[in-house]
Order: sequence, then C-alpha cells, then structure tokens
Amino acid sequence: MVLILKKQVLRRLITIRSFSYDKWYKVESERQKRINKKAQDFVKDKSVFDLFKFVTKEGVSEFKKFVQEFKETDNKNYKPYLEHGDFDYLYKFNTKEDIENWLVSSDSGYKIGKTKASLNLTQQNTGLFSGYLSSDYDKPEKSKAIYTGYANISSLTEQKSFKRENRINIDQFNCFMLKIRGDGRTYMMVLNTPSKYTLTYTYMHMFPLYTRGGPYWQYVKIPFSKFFHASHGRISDKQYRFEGLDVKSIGITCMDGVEGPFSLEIDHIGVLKDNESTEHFAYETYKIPKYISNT
Amino acid sequence: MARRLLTLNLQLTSLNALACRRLLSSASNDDKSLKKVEKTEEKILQKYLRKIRPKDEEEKEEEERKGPFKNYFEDEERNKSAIVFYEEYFDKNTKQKDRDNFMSALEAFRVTNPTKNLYLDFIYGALLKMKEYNAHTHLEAYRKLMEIFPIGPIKCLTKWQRDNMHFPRHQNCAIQILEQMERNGVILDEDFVRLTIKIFGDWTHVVRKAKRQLYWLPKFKNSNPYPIPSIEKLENMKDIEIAFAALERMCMSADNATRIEAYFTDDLEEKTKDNFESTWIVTAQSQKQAELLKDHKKSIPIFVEGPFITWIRSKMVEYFVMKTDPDPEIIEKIKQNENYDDLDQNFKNLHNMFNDPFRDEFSKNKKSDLSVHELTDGTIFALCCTGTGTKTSLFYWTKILEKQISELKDFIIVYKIKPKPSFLVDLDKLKNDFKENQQKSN
Repeated sequence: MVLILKKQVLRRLITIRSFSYDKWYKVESERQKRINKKAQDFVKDKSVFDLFKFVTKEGVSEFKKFVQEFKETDNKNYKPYLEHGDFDYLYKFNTKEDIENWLVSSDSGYKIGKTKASLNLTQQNTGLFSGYLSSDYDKPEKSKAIYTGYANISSLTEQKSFKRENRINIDQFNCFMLKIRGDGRTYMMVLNTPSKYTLTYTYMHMFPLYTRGGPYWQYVKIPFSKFFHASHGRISDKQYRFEGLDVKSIGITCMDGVEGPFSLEIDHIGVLKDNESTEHFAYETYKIPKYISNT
Repeated sequence: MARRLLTLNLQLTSLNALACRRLLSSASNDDKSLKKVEKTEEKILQKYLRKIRPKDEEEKEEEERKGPFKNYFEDEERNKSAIVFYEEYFDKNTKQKDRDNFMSALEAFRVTNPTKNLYLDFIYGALLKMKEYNAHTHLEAYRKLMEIFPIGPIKCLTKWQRDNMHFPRHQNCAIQILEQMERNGVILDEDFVRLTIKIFGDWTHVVRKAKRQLYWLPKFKNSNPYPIPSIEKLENMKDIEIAFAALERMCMSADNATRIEAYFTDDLEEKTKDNFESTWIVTAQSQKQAELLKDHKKSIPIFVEGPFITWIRSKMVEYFVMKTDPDPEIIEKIKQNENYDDLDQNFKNLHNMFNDPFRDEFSKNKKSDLSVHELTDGTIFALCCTGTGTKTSLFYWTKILEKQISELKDFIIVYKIKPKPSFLVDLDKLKNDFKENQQKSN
C-alpha cells in the first residue's frame, strides 16, 4: 500500500511542476552536442598545434629574451642614492612612437555614449589629447548605465619574456612631475595598481589634475601621499598609501560632467625626489564599526 | 545508516527508470515534439518582430519622458499613468520655470496628496525636471525632496534588515537623489545626514553614501590651486565679470604683474560710424610684455589669433592672443634649459631639477634669462576677450594698445580668426563631402 501511495504522490508532483521531458531532451541533447564540438575543436586547433608552434617559432625568441633579462638583472636592481631634486622621465610625448604606446578609449567604444577623443602630435612635438565630451546616451536595451561621458588615455604595459607583465616600480622617488597645458577643466590622474587576483583589476589610485587655461605651460607636482584609493571609479572606505610599486598603467581621464570640447597638451610625465615633502599620507585612516561591509 | 542509504539508492534508481521510459517514448514521437518547437519559434519570432518594428512618434515621446530612469518606468507593475502623474504638478500648472515654482510644486504634492500615493514616481519625475527649473544646484530643493519620504515605516530596526537592504526600491530612489547632488557639485549639510538616519536608520546603504559624501566632498572643495568662483557666485555674474575672472586665472599665476582692464567701445568712438559695434573689451598685459613689444623687429609681422577656449566650471570663454612666430634662437635656448644635466657626465643616468651652483658651474653658465612669455610657439604680447568676437572688435583692441604703446602703429598686424574651433566640426559631414568630391572627380 505504501509503495502504491508513494507512486501516486510522485506522479502528482510531476504533473504539478509541469516538467516536460520532450523539452528537456531537446535542450539536453543540444547541450551535449555543443560540448562535444567544443572539445573536439579545442583538441584539434589549439592545444597540440599551438604548443608545437610556440616551441618552434616564439619559444626560441622568448628564451633569448629571458637570457638577456637574466644578464641585466644586476643593472636593474641597482638603485642609486637619490639626492634632492633628482628626476627621471617616465613618458615623453615628443615623437610618433611615443604616442603609439598610449591607448585612447571613450564611451563610444562600448556603444553607450557619443564622446570623441584622440591623441595626436602637434607642430611643437607635444602630445595633444583632445575631443568632444557629450552626455548623450545611445545605449542598447537593458543596460544599467545612467550617466555617460568620459574619455581616457592610458599607457600600455610592457611585456617581459614569456609574455609576462613588466610593471613600473618607482619606490625610491617621492612625487610625480608633469608638464602640461590645459583648458581650465579638471582632469584625473589614474594609476592602475591591481594585485594578482582578478577581483582587484579595478583597484586604482587617483588624484585630480587641475589646469588653468591659457597659452602658458604649467608644471604640476603631485606627491605620492596625496593619491587616494578607489575601485570601480569610486572612493573606497578603507584607505592606504600609494607606495610606488607594481603600477600596471598610468592614465589621464576627462570626466568633468561638462558637455563640450576639451584639449590637454602634454609634454612629459616624470618622477621626482623631493626631500622637503615629508608627508606620509594625506588622508585619515578611520575604521568603520564592526559587521558593516567596507566598500 | 547503511540501510537508509540503500533505500535512497533504490528510490533514485526507480526515478531514473521512470525518466528513461519517458525519454524513450518522446524519442519515438519526434514529429509531435518538432511541431511543438515550430509553434514556439513562431511565437518568439512574432515577439521579436514587434520589437524591430519602427517606433511611432508617441512611443518616442514616451521614451524622452522616461529619460535615463528608463529601467524603473519599464517595470510591468508601473502603469503609463505614473508618468503622466508627475507632469500634472510641473508642466500643466506652472508657466514660468523658476526655482521658486519648483519648490511650490513640491509643496503642492504635500498638500494635495496627504497619503503620499505614488511618491517614488513623483521623486523620479522631479529629478528629471530639476535642470529645466534651474534647481539642480540648490541644496534646499534636494532637502525638500528627501522630506517626502515618510518617517517611521521604512526604518531598519534589526541588523539583518540593515545589511540586506530593507525596502530596496525606496533606498535606490534615495541613493539616486544623492547621486544627482554629487554630479552637480552640491555639498551636503550635517542636518541632511540626520534626516536620512531618521528615515532609513543608521548605517543603511543610503546613510553610508551620505556620510561618504559629507566626508570627502569638503576635502576637495578648495583644493584647486587656480581658484574658480563658486557655483552660487557664478550664476549671478555678468559676461564681463566671467571674462575678467578667466583672464585673471590664466595670467596672474604665470606673471604677477599683469594689468587687466575693461573698456567699452561706446567711450572710445562715435556711434555714427558705419562699422560700429557696442561691445566690451577686456585686455591683459604685463610690463614685461610691453617691453618685449617695444624690442620687436618691425620687419616680422604680428598675429592676432583665435578664438581659443577656456572653461570656468560649466561656462565656456573664448579668448584671443597677440603673438609672433617663434624665433629659432629662443627655441634653442629653451632646449638647453630643459636639459638640466648632460647624461654623459651624470653616472646615475638621471636629471636634476634644482641645480646646485656649488656643485657644477657648467650648468650655471647654461641658464639664460628667458621670461614666461617666450615659448616655442612664439612670444605672447597680450591677451583679450571681447563680447562679440568679431574682427571689428579686435580692431578696437589694437587701438587701445596703441594708446599705451605708440610704436605699435609701425608694425604689420595680421588677423587670423577662425569661424569656429577646428574640433567642433562634424566628422561625418566632412567624410560625406570627401566622398562626394571623389565621385565627382571620377
């Protein structure tokens, strides 16, 4: 009796859920076919042949690079004692090759906004970051973006042997030094400093870059202690200092919220050792009470 | 335990057997299943075609009404009447679009709707209308919007409610108000944060955002080294005052001794002339620049170029420059100045910013006395802003400078004035013109 009752109950449950095996079979068989096809393609095209190609063609050249890097390790690790006022050029914008190492991105690249941006050489051999910032939104359906309008330039990361990232280490210096000529807007200087986990790919330190308009050049000095920590473009509650280690890329964004043309002329970005600025960190490191999530 | 597991396994096997039977039966009846699939595909296609169909004008108008808060209004629970609802308070009953009328519309909602029915729709609508009424930089307007939320029923009482976003629809609406304040540069008051705590409870998502804004925004309020007039001040300023502030910002930090003066063309010349324009002119010139003009060679021409662009917050100012072509001698001097140390002598492979005169005399001799105004583009003699930006108004500007420096009459002056800055031109139009020209040539 018990078994019969159980069977009846099970049948009822099946009917209530309206689980159709036809649909399930259709979906499941297609899914399995897709997985099999993917696996076959992966084995055929990528795994074996790519490894073979890499070893023969690229592997030899990469290994030569690795040997060169191993020889030059002593020169790279050599850190001279810096005096007051020593500075070095990180990036110059004086030739066409320098400008090709920078990446320009804007809203219109993601098909959300309508901003235009470009980085070009001027007649005086300086880089000009210019365009038109617009807050119109021409977005696809069901996108979460409400506000639009930004343009950005960021440096490309150099690659070591075997396609590893070569990150910038400016630990021994003290502050940034820029030579720029802007148009009254406030830009933002961004240092992308993610750690090895993929969760932290938007971690960055940033500080506003104030410009006065006009034809005169201006030297901007920003000490490392002024940079605040942010993730996903928003200031985070937990603050810590920018130590000058493991910088993936340096960038400048224009996200003023004011619609219209913009132009920023850049000569160089440098690093400086200034013994007079002894500030460790400009902002307070308060703690939020327990059991409340930091963001 | 072992027995129980066995029984469970048995049950599972029986279930699997059931499923296999079903599968076999479905495999035998392939035709039926295919027909079903075809029917469903047709339904999906019809739905898809509805979306592709060209939009009517009424639908386009509705989308414009919704604005950026499209996702909120497109919920199935919200009716179309909700959009019309807030327009009764704003568009129909008000004629002048002022800040006072915006506040009166908010009061009208409080008086006529004591039950606060559909108040979230009203707030989203008011946020859209804010810029039309010129209330988007006004703190009291935002405070009045926040006071619409009822005190008591939305409040979080337990930790569970606080962490998991109690009443998410209401909290997202309040966050949107704070977001719009941040975008428009409005800085919070301490009482504003207390109000949010009263409504939502302490340390909720809304209050956390409000506290962050109260902590961070005043830090960067006065951090600009090139000072700008505040938002409230800039609304009441006239065009001359804005031009005066822009020139002051550009020149005074470069050269302290610049003299900025304003003139009106009505005082300079008679109105009976043919090409007369009644405008204002603001000039900026330092003593050093006047000396450079006097030393200038008469054979080399002087250019009046423009208009170039500067920004003061959201206002665009166009200015003009009087300058010459660059001398090759000056460019060489500037290049020598920038190379602070020769890299061959320096074993550290680094440059030095502040040269010690005791350390090396070589670098000391290299320095030359160049002023700020001598650049690689060319030496700059004066800056100006005019009300109209035409060629005649710039002709008056040269006459004003001639009174101060009498030697300017002998120079050749060339006017290089663009109708508009080059990056304002539409690229699409240029491309189309380029293609048409190519077709004609072929």
